[in-house]
Amino acid sequence: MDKQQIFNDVVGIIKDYVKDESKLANVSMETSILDDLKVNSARLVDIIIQFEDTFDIEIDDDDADNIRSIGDAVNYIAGRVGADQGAE
Amino acid sequence: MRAVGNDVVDLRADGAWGKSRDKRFVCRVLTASEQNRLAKSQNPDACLWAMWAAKEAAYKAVSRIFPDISAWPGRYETVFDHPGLPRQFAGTVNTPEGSVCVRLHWDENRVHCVGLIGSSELWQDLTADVFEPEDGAHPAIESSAKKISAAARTAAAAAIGLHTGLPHGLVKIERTRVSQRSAPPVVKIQGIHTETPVSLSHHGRFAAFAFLAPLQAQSAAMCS
Ligand SMILES: CC(C)(COP(=O)(O)OP(=O)(O)OC[C@H]1O[C@@H](n2cnc3c(N)ncnc32)[C@H](O)[C@@H]1OP(=O)(O)O)[C@@H](O)C(=O)NCCC(=O)NCCS
Repeated sequence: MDKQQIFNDVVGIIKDYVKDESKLANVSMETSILDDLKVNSARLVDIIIQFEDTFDIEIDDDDADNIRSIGDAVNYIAGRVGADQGAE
Repeated sequence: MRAVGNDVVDLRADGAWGKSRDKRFVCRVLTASEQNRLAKSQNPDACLWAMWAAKEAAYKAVSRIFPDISAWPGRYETVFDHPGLPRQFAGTVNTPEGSVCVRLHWDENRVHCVGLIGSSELWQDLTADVFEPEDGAHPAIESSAKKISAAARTAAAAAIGLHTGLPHGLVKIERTRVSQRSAPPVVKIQGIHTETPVSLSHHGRFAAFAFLAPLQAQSAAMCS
């Protein structure tokens, strides 16, 4: 699995929690999940749980606390699943 | 040091209703003793979201003093003064950087919590409100301020203006971003940054705000 694939999967998970679809038009690695996509913090916990299920990893509380942007999620997951480069 | 945080949860909103049955979520956000309290509760959704709102309100208050503090809800422990869930009650949230006093109020529609750091007399200086912008009941909301975030901001600015006797429009609430972390809102009077502690929240149908009375000397100076 390469980073581009992880990026696509991460955006695919998050998009179900974004009320205003127009906000998804320009998502990038820098996009903040809470501030730019207006996902509330309780739904961020749901998203973390879905990352665990989709990528078959466990995300501990400290790591979960550091996931604020799409890039944080992609880089963290890539590190955990040993991904190839892409989506920088 | 004075700091305030507040959080509102719409109990009927998508993702809130029935959430107390989501075991994975509950285990991620509540400590063992909180899970125990939830298991005994007769109003499990309200109980879950009361603890959540208390943690969020505490985070918003304490992160003003410790901006890099963990936001993870499991690192915050709620201690409520009452074993049940009366409609109105008080408590404490133990955060990674000390405790925050909280007061909660809930009904079938929503839970609202305010957290304070400072002396207990500060509660007298607190102004807080929860409202539904859509119902047009709040006089501060103009029809153009459709978005709920703007509604919370506009209402808080108007209430601070009312409190300080400043004409409408001189008080603004702004927010900045520090790298990927969102920073707390700040009150500006005539474009000048003030130390007035303010907190905004919105969820589902509801918007809410809380602030501590601006220091007299400061607002007087702003007006002159
Ligand atoms: C502050 C925070 C907890 C509020 O999120 P929320 O409960 O989803 O949303 P609420 O409506 O209750 O509060 C949003 C308001 O909080 C205020 N706020 C944002 N960051 C803040 C901070 N660091 N301190 C105090 N208040 C803050 C803003 O005014 C914001 O309103 P706005 O976006 O309309 O300007 C969230 O934005 C945040 O930064 N969380 C940290 C990351 C995190 O939660 N990680 C773990 C998953 S729980």
